[in-house]
Parts: sequence; structure tokens; C-alpha cells
Amino acid sequence: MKQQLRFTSEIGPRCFCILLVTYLSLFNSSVYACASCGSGGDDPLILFPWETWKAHLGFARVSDFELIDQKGETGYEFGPESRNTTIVSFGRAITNRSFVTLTAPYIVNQRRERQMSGWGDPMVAVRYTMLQQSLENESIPQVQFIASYRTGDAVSVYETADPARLDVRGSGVPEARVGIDLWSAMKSIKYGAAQTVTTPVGSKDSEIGDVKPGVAFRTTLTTGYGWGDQGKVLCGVNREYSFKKSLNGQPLEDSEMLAHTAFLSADAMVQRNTNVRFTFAKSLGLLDHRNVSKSQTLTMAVQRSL
Amino acid sequence: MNLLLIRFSLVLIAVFAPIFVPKANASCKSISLEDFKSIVVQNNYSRIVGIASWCASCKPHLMVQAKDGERRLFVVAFDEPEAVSSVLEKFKIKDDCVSGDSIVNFLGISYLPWAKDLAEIKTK
Repeated sequence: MKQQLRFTSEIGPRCFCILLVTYLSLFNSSVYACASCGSGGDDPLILFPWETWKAHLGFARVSDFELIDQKGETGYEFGPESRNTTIVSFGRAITNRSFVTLTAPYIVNQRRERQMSGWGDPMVAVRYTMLQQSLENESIPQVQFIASYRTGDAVSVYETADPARLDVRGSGVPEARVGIDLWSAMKSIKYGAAQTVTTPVGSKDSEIGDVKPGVAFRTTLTTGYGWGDQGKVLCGVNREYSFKKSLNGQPLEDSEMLAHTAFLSADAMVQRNTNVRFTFAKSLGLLDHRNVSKSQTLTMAVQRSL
Repeated sequence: MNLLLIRFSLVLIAVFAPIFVPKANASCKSISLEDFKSIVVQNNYSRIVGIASWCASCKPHLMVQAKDGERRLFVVAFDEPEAVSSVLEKFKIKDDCVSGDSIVNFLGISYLPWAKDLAEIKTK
């Protein structure tokens, strides 16, 4: 804790807070690429219609972190050099048109030869299919309503006791998310779009004051090609914009967050009830970024209907 | 302003309501397992096809009409009978169609598309 306070006094509370929220963005912009039958707007696991149970196990390696400041320039570098995350998720149908998923990440942060690990914040998500795809009219996409809640209990930058923040595994503030996910997959050429809004539930009482992240908007556009049930290749972009954070109730200048990420994923059916998916996601260098950590992510995931 | 809003809402409802409300069609009848067994014997079906309206991979089964001498019976699996009825209508399928969870369990349909000759089912 002493190390954290010394760090604070060196660079000033305002700058420190911006760096903190930048670092927090690492935990807000997970790219799950494309889930089984949705455009990946929110959660890694999506159940097919009438599927009752489904499990997901994913391994993600995030590396090449590059902190971008409020002007879009490379900022102060700290934190892990790589992060390995094991994502465990279970989905259960509630009705024929809705399901709930519970997702928990186990995070290993690494910097050179040092590493620290532990559970991140679990997330519970609900999806309701407002409009189901049908062979009757293949042009009409599936429309799903998304709602999720992520806890803020995992160690955050506000409680960290490690100078390199290797023990940080969460944002520190619970968050709720709602959105709409469109997905058209009846033909060989697939496309999807998702829009979600994330709002913090409460704020974080920290050493530097009462910190509250801004409301965030996330847009996902996806397209790709599928070979029947055997597999598909998808690519897309994510844009995430977060409004200003507040410190002690006052908006924090230059604290808006903007991130653009591109992803490419390929999945294949290895058994009738099992899919394997590989995803590569990378921050788009050509587009603007502000107060965000650019990185690249390689994910391998297995999904099995139970 | 409020009147304008109400009119706008009514137009939206009129445009989108047909999309959200499934068309009424009773061609896929909901029947019991006992009835299913008896109609299979009586009508001498030769092939059973499990189908759902959301199943894109089921499309090849709808693109072909029954072969000469073949009698197909469509079974609604993991879907609403009304939705499948509309699909069969769209593809101008004249074969019979039935619905029932007990039938799906009896046939062991756990994936789609699912299609088997009756002889294969009897052997099993």
C-alpha cells in the first residue's frame, strides 16, 4: 500500500486516476469474438434454441499491452506484460426463448518472471430471443435482448498491494449491461450487429476519492462464411466508447475511453455436441484510441452441449 | 406532439407486428406417442424427418420432394408446430407433419437435421 501511495504522490492524483481508469479498461473490453449463434456482443456462451445446458471452457492469452493516453499517444507503462485467462461458463435454458449464463474468469498476470493469479469478477447474463430466425424468411435476423451483471469484488487497482499490479483482476465497481444482438446465420454468408450499454452500479471509495466509471457504449459488427454445421469463419470489429469518469462526483476531464478492436475467429464442430473455436483479436492501430490499453488476444475455446 | 407520437407508435406496431406474431397454421398436428405409432403403421411412412424452423441445415430436406413411392413424415423437434407449419407451407411440402415431445424422445432426436428410414428405426 505504501508503494501505491508513493506512486500517487509522484504523478498527482488526477493523472494517477486517469492511468487507473486506463488500466481498468483492460477488464472492460474482453473480446469473445463470435459466439456460437450471436455476434458476440456480450458473453462467450450462447445457447441454440431449445438447448438446455451448455458448457464453455476457454483459454485466452492477452499480450503486447500498450497504454494509450487521452491524446492517443503511448502513455506510462505499468502492469502485466501478459495475461492468461481461463474462462469457465455454464448456460441453462430458462424457457425456449431465454437462457442464463454464468461466467467466471481465472486470471494469471505475468511480468517477466513474476506472476500472480486468482479469480476475476464473475458475470451472470440473460438473453431473451425476441425474434427467432426461421427458414420461412431467411433474411430476417435473430433479435436477442441482452442483460448482464458483473460483480466488482475481485482485487482492483484500488486495493492492489503489488507495485506492478499483478494482483489486479477486476474493475472494482460492479456493472450492469443491457443491449440488443442481431444475428443472421440462415445462409452461408453470416452477419451480425450488437449494441450494448454498460453502466456502473455504484462507485468505488478509494485512496484518491470516490471513483465512478462512465457509461460505456459498445458496438460489434460481424460478418463471415459458414459451411453448414461443420464450421464457420467470422471477422468483425468492436468499438467501445466510455463517457467521462467521475472523481468525488465531479467529471474527470480527458477521461473518456475509446477503443477499436478487430477479430478473426474460426470454429469447427468436432462432435455433434462439441465445437472448438480459435479467435485472434487485436487493437486496430489505424483507428483512434484514448485512455485504453491496446493489446492482442489469442483464444481457444471448447463448447459442449450437455 | 403526443398525438404525433401515438401515430408514430401505431405505424411502428402495424409494420413490425406481423414479424413478431407467428402465422396460425395447423398443419403440424400435436399428437400423443400412441397416436404417432398407430399412424406410422396405418400410413406406411418410409422416412421420418426431424425439423425445426430455425435449423438452417434442415433446408436440404425441404428442397427435395419425396421420391416416388416414398412417404415422409415430418416431426417437429425443438420448435413450435406453428413455426414449422409455416416453413413447410413456404417450401410447398405436402407431406404430413406431427408434433409432440414424447415423439421426439421416442425417436431419440437429439440433433438436427435428423432423418432416418423407418426400417432403420424399427431395427434399432
